[in-house]
Amino acid sequence: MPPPNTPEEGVLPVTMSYRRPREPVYSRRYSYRRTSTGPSVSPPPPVRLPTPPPAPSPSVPDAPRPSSATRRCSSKCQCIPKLDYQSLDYEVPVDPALQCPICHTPFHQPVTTRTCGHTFCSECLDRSLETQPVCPIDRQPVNPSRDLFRARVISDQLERLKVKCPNKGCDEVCTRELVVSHFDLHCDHTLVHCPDPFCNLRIPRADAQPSSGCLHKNTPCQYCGADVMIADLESHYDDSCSGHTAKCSHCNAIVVRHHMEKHLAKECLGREIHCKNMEYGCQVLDRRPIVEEHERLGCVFEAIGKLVLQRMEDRARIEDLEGRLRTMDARAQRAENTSTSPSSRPRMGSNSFMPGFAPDANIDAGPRTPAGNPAWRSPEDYMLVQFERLEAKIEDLQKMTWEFDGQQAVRQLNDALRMQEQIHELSNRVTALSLQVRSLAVNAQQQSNAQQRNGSSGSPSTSSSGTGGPGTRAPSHEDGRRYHSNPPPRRNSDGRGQHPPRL
Amino acid sequence: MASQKRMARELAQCTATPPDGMTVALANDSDIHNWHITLDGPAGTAYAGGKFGIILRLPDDYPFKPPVVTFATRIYHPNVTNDNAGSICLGMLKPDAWKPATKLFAVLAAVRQLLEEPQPDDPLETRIADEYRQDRKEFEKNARAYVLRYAKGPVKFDAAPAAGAGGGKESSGASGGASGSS
Repeated sequence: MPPPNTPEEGVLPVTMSYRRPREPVYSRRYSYRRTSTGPSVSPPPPVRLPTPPPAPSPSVPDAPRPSSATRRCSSKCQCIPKLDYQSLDYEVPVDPALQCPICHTPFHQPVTTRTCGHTFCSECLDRSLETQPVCPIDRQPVNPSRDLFRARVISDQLERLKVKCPNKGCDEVCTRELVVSHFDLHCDHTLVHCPDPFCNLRIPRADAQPSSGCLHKNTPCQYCGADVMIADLESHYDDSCSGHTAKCSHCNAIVVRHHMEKHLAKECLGREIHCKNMEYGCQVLDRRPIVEEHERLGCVFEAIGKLVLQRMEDRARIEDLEGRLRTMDARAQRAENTSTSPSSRPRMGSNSFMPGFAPDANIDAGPRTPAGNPAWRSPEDYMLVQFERLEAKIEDLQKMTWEFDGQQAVRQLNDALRMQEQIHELSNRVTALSLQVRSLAVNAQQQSNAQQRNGSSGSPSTSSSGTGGPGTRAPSHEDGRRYHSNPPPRRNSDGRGQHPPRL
Repeated sequence: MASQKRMARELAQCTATPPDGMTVALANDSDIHNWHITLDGPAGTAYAGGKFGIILRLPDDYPFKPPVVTFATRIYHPNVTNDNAGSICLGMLKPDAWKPATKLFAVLAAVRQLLEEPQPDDPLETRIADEYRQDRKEFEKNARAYVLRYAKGPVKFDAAPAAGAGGGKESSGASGGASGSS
């Protein structure tokens, strides 16, 4: 039978029950994403798994209690309180302009009227329109099915605000968007159904473990003997228990019994405690104020404690390094065993101190010493080899440069000789030509002198030209022909005379 | 509850910064639905010097239904029933004119305004309204007499029955007779 103080079903909080019937209308009208109070989304609390009924249940199968099937809440369960948006505490004060004029809290799922542009929480407005179909601010007529639209910008803005979880004792702070899922699914302080399917009561989620069974049974209080429900023991100890306080045996303070351990460990002024550096050797054991003073002034063993910690740290590091060194050694040993052919370079020692040094050397020397990469004895060794190799390379390059220089010089010499010969030839031709030109010029001079002599004897120039013309011209023609035929044909500088005009 | 938070906020606002000459307190600390307001008669009116008790009762479905405001102290006023009920005729509080967005601060300010400027055109007490319109001196004399008789000394809130706020018109005739005899 239920305990005498079991509340009836109707006593359960009805925080938002009056809104239930309207919600489907709302969701149909504005098609909001129902994450919070929507009956369809609210999942059954995870703890209400279909656990097999506890042992005593078969013995009372016909008891007049509600059967598990009827009590098991469907998705439309109303007995678990839903998140009440209006009771949320915001981290920062919200601008009054973003608060519903009806409930005076920040808008939740705001809707705006088309006629006058006023915005309200959808639930507040629905409730107001039920009373009177007018705007709650200016009383303009509002048709709920036509004149409303979602104020999405406002809701998006508000969903981002940080709020505190409304459950007492929960310190969660998150955005308003997320607080619903926190409250419905995760918060340990949210009331959920008792894991016992035959119990109608609710219990914080943290305590509702199927393994712990129903906590709604009475148990005698260990201090006052009164019958108290297990779930209420905490608050009973804190508040109502008649024998809930006791005098601390050390400091005579009145302490709630339930918190005595905490008091002794952290608060009691009369009890003797050790210095916090006890494990490092401090022997101080005294009342709390004295020990605190001792610690404040600087316990000598605090430095020792630091050293000890440091030493432990160092030891751990040394062990770590030792382990790594061992693995390295093993690897070097393996590499040594596998290398068969001698390397290009004499090995400096078989028991290499730093095996596998400088992987770059392996890559560089790989093609040259394919048989096995020498494990260099030391960095100096490696550098020496590299140096030698570079020196050889430089010598090669020097030789190539010399060869190239010689070739270049021979080629230049040959070219110069050829040019000299050509220049000589050309100068010879030029002298020959100049001789010819001079002789021609002398001839022309003689002829002109002869003509002048004839002209000065008294004949007019016209008659002389008519009579002596052909005579004087003939030799010039002949000269011209001779000039044109005998010597190699000359080209005019302008190239026009290259092809003599054809007649 | 949706309205709890709003009522708490409005109470906080009205107690912190009440309208001039008013003090606001809860009748009972555990019941936020019943407010007790003390109003000093506005200076320059016939009610100056008097202290009037006003009871403001918030219905369960406030703010969707208007609050009910009654005078606990008897007052000689055309818009207040001249009886123990002390019902007020205030336009904004009529059920068909109530706007859920109206703040209680505005309601209290309107009550005070009603004492400064009675509304004889919308009276509960037609006799007093007529007197106010036609013989202002007589009205003020009567009002002062009422102040002297009822509104001096500590304010009592239990004089007016909590119920009976609705039917002001019906009781006006009877109360008018009562006032005439006094």
